[in-house]
Amino acid sequence: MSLTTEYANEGKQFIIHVSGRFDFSRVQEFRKSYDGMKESVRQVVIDFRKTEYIDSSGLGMLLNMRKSLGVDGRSYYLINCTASVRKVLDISRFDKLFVID
Amino acid sequence: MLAQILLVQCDERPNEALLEKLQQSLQYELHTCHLEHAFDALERVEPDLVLFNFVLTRDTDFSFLSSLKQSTSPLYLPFIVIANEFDEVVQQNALYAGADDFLVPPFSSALLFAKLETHLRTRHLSQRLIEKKENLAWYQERLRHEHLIVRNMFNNALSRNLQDCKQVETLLLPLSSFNGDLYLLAKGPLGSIYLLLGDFTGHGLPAAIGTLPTSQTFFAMAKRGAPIGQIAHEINQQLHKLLPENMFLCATLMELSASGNRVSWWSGGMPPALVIDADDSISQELMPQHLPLGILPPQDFEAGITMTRLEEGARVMLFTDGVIEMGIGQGKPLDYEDFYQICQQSRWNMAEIKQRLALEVMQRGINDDLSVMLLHCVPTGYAPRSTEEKLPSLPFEIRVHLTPNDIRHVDPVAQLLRGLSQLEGFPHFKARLYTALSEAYNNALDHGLLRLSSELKDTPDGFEQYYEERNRRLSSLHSGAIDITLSYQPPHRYLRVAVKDTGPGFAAQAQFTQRSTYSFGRGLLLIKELANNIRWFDQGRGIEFDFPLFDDEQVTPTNHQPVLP
Repeated sequence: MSLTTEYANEGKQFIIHVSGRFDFSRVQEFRKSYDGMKESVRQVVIDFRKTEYIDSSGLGMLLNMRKSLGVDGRSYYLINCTASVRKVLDISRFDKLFVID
Repeated sequence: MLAQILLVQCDERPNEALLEKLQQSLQYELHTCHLEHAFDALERVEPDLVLFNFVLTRDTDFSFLSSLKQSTSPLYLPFIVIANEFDEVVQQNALYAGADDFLVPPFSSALLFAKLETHLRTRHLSQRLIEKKENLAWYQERLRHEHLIVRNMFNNALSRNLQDCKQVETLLLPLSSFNGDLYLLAKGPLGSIYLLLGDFTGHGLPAAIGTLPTSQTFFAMAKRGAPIGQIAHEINQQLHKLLPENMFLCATLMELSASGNRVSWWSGGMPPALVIDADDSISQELMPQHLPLGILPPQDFEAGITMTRLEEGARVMLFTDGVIEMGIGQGKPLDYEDFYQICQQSRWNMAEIKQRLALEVMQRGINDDLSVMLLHCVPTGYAPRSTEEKLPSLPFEIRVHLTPNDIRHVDPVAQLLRGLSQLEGFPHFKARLYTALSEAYNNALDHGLLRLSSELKDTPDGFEQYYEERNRRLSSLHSGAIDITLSYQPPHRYLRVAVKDTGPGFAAQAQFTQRSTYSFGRGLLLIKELANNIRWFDQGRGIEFDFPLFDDEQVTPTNHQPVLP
């Protein structure tokens, strides 16, 4: 299982752990991971600690998720980025839409 | 074995009657000696009982008796004096001098043997006592030795604890030489700090025994950068399997992000951790939300964590219940309020808190292992730094020609990366190289061979439609090819990448300045930022760039417009 999710902070937070590659081969799997996410979620967190590779389709998937879950009362966090993932996020200025650390 | 009896005589003429009586018995082996040779005989015969057959008259007789008795080992060796006649004073003196009994003739054989048996019985008791004492000493020594080994193992297990970590201050006060409280600290591969503060049921060695599996699991998983919830799950599973029913581990597991402004934590059965803001006020109590570790079977375990964002200058204090149980046995407990007050009066300065708590311990007494730990939430400084990687000294070139069938069935980017990762120095760059190569390859495939338009990707539904359409077209692709060339020419520290397709080509140069489609623009932008000397060739059918094999400085994204919708 290379993509796992969990709720934290009593259902206010939703964490998606992505391991391995984060590219178009994960489009459907990623989309499904947040389909039916609880309405109560205020913070969506993508944990990249186990992500080896990311490319522009991965970036597209993140934007897509943000669009489809909405930004009203919700914030998005990209956490535990490896240096390489961080670089790709920085290049595309994702810090403007996501909280990255 | 027959009891050995030594008869010491002083008379020139031995006491024939006595000798006869003793020789009648088959239960004893009789040895005789003259007074003069008594010391030698004691050593030679090693008797179980000594009979004195002589007239005690002079002071020197008593002192001789006394020194002979004293020469014997701690094992009780009965001395029975056989007098010639009854004299109370002589009898008293003989007893004081070390005799254990006194017989005055005439006496029957039966009485003599009864006396002998009584004293031999006492000797036997004494013997067993000494054996027990020796056994006890042996067990004590063995226990000491075993403790030494176990302590060594504990020290080794805990020696993996992160040393000289400036973010963490601790006060650890075990009740015995084995600590039932557990404090573990490690750094993660991305520079985060993992910590565990726990308290096993009870204290001393039985409580500390769970330290070994817990610490092993903790360090192994922290090294891999596992999430806190997973580590808690794994430790729970281990302890559930190993510990007896009535034993468990109350614990808080916490990960401080490399940036120092976020903690993720799991807590079961521990006093609440405190978040202290820069102004020294307690801004949050992190209440435990779970049962302690080792109680629930794995399938029922709740691995739910909490993420708490921290302000600049914040600290987190963790402590075990030994702190607030201090003095409870003496009816003088230090409760939460008292402890918070001590901390606040000390302005959360650990050195001061330590002193104050030491005083409290002296006044109230200590009932349990006691641990306090203060975590300063600042950037950890453990994030990996870039290094100048050593590269292979042999030049090489890899050419890959991919037909539609290859494209459908293999993932050339992943395979090439796997191969390149075998080369010295390359693993360090593989993630970035993957991104750049993947962009170039997908460009060639999506737009060159499959003729997809990126505009589809602009809407949430379109995004998936795009990839569905891609799959459809790919399965019916019959003509065309993609060529990938990778060449490396030391001493140049770059890998030249060329990707060419047999599509119609396009005037893609415009894409650099005029990005009409964001997603596609993002892909090219990534190549542009990750590589140098990008050029198109063959009317836009091919792209070539140099991927640098060295670490440049952090990207400063100022030289281009953000490409976000």
